[in-house]
Amino acid sequence: MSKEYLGEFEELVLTIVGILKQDAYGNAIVTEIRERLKRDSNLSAVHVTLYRLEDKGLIKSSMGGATNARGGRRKRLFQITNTGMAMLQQMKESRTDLWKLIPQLKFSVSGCKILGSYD
Amino acid sequence: MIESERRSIRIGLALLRWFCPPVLYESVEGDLLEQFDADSTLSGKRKAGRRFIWNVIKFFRPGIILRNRFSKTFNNLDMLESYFKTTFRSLRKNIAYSFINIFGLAIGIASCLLIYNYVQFEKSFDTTHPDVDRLYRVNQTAIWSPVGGVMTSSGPQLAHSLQNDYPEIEQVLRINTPGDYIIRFSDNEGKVIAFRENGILAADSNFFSFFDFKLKEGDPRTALVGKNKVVLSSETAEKYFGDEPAVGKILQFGDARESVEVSGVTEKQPLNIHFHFDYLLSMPTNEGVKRFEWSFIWSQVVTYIKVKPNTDMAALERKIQSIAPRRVEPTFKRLKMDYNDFTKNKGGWHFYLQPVTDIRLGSADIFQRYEEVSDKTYIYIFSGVAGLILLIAAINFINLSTARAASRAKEVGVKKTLGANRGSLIGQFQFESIFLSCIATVIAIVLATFIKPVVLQLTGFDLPFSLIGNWPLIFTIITIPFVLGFFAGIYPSFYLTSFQPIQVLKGKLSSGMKSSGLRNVLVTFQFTIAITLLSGTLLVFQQLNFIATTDIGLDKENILVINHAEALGKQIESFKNELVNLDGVVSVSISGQVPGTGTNEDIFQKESGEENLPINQTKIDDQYFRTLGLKLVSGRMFSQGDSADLKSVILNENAANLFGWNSEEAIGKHIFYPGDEMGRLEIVGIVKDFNFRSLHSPISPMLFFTLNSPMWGDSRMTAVKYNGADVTDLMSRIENKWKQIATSTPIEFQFYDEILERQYQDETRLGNLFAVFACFSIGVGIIGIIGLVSYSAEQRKKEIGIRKVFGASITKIVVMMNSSYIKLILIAVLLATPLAWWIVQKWLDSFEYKITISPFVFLIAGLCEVVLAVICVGYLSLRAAMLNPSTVLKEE
Repeated sequence: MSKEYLGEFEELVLTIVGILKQDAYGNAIVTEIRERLKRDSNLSAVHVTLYRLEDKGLIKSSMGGATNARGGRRKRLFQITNTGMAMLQQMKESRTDLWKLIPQLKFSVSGCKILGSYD
Repeated sequence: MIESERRSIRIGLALLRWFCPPVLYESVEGDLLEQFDADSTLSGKRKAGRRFIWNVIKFFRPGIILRNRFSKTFNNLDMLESYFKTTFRSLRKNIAYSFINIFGLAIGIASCLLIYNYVQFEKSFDTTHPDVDRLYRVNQTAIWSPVGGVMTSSGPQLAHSLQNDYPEIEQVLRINTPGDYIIRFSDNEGKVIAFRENGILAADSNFFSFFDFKLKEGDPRTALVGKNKVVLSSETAEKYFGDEPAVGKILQFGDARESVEVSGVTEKQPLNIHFHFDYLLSMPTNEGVKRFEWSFIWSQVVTYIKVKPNTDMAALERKIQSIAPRRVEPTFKRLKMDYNDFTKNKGGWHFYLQPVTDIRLGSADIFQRYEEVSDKTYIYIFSGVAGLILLIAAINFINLSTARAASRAKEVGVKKTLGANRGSLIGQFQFESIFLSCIATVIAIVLATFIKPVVLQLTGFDLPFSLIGNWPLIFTIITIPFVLGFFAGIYPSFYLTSFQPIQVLKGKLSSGMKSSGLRNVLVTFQFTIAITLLSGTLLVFQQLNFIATTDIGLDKENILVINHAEALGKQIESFKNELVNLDGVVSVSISGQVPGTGTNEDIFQKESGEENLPINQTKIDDQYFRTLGLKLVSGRMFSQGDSADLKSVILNENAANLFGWNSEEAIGKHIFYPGDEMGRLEIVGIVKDFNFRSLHSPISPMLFFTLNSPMWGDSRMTAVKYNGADVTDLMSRIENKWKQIATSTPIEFQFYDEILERQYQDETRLGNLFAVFACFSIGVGIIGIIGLVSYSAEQRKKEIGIRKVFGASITKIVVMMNSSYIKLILIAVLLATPLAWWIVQKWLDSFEYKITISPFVFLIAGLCEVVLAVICVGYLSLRAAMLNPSTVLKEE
């Protein structure tokens, strides 16, 4: 178990940073979330989450090159760290482990059986 | 419109710049602008402009605004953890040092807490009464003291004058002290319980609207209305009636067995009111008040007023001065007395308004009608002492911390090399010192709870040391460690963090010698305080001993005094005769008073009658001088039962001198008593001077009448001189005789020497308190020295080893180790001497009979300190000196 706990939105942002690789910054993440999950997110909320993840050491940031599109302002580009990657991995695995424990298929099968036997 | 969208962006960015930390600013701005572009292509520029501002506002959140500070605090929390760790390690590394440091501080804080609590209690007096800011006591000129002054007593008439003539005054209240009564209660089975009670007051019916005494039974509005009503204290009600309700029960007062109905019972009376009572009678119950309603001279009541809101008190006080000429003077005509003559030596007849809240601490120079008051001086003395002890403890802390600089210096050096800045190092040391103070405070609270009963026993000051609901005290306790830790930590933390890492790590810093100058000053200061307190204590006790052993001209050993012998009535003579025949009784005397229990002062004149001379007088029998060991210088004793002596007097030498005679000449001369028909009195004897008052005052004139003389004064005391055999047995035999005569009045014994000692209760109390705090200050000081020496022994191990190798003897090394601070103690003696001398002399000046301060006392106090220090530190230095040089020197 890791010491830190990740919230749902934090996990989402972390994953997106992983997906976007070299090009993860505030707007890109907002757009990505909108496009992939059909979910509107707040730019400022994304920023705060990014900083929090940075504090936890799961991502790191650097200032990227300026483009004209942003009035010449540089982007703060985020990158997932090894710890962040490990964290995602671990979370995914534990989810899968837990998922396996849900008796979904077995339930339907045995349910039929039981129903059948009483039929 | 291009213009409006530009404005939106300008406003938005200005706003962002205002709250966004600079580190984040650029990227946030970029993201916002990018979104604006996206928005404007999607939904038009105007809408995008509004959205831009809205988006900016959404960035106004703690996660952004506080981000700089946030990250810093995060670090600090981590650092705090590391501070904890280093603090614990350094505490554990040198347990003795930590113990000394914490314990010394704890003693300091404990005494502070106790004293703070005491001061708080004294200041809380009379603050709970309703409208307390409008309550005043009306004091007046002490008309019964020959030289004036101020007293709290006034005549019953004063209240009427105040009430009728001054519209500013809302209510007037009188409290009367009717004196002692025997109070009886007979229960249903006819069993009688009787006690002689002295906690009796009488008050006007509006008493409960003035003072904060709550009734648990009865109605405060009607409890004191009408004659023969009494309100009891809860303790008294329990004494007579147990658990039964008291209201409606009938008590019998005095020898006349006047029936008085209980009309109320108070709850437990708060300690912090300037008077208390077991019985509170309704005013009309005391016939005396009614008889003297017109009088200003019958000063048996204390008068209080409640003024209307916003009254100009200074003006009111000026106005009430006119009561003297308008009201008081006419009453003198009725008495056929001369007003001007009466007030001549007293500076006139004045009235003073004293706020009720001021009574407890502001009445030291006022003659009290009832309970003792405290004195502001005590508050100042104790606050000062508390401050000093805390200072001593804080100095220990500073000294020990700087002395240990050498070992902490490496730590500082390493930390600095690793990039710690000075600020965070100072933070670390401050944290350490505050943390230590916190522990010390916790220990201090425990200590204070344990010390409290000791202080109570020694001094009789009952401190209500309770934390429950006492917010100011709780607040103080919480603040102390932070304030103290901070201030005690300032110097060490700046000193310790000032080292250059390169020097320290090279090992250039020698055991904190740099700061030894300051340390010496501080140690000297500590001992100056300690020696001042100690020599002060010694001198106070010397004076107390002087008092106990001074020949005051009368015997005080082996004398039993029986109070209130007037209860025996006419059978007092036969009682006396029975006592004389008891085994073990040497002599028995009956008199008005015995010396030390007060005297009756009255005015006498020379036969020629030109001058009024105030002289103390009392009535005695023929056995009085023999029983108390007084000596006649000339003339004769009253002859027993001789009616010829009814107008004879015996003077003391001082009184004879007052009339201008020596003891031989005086015999057969006459003096004159202008008071009543007694008139001309013949002097038959002169008694050697003796101190009938406390040694605070000089011997003053005194004269004696024979017991059956018509002179006023009806109280009687019996003094029994016994020969030292079994006193308890004798007392029970005397009590048996008493019971045969006075069936329902309990007997009251006192030992004469205890009566005399009680005159010096305050001084004894002061001495004891001084002793307690002197011990504290010495203890804390010595603890500090132990810490310093043990530390320097550790540091100088090698030096000592080398000295020994070169042939220094153990004695020499021990002397070397000890001499440094003994020198300091000697300097402290020099500093403390004039200080203590001055303080004690001020105190001694209140005595007429006093010791002369001898310089030896200061030497003794200094010597005590030296001896104590040598005993405590000697072992440490001896151990250091005994170390084998080879073991010390080989570690390198």
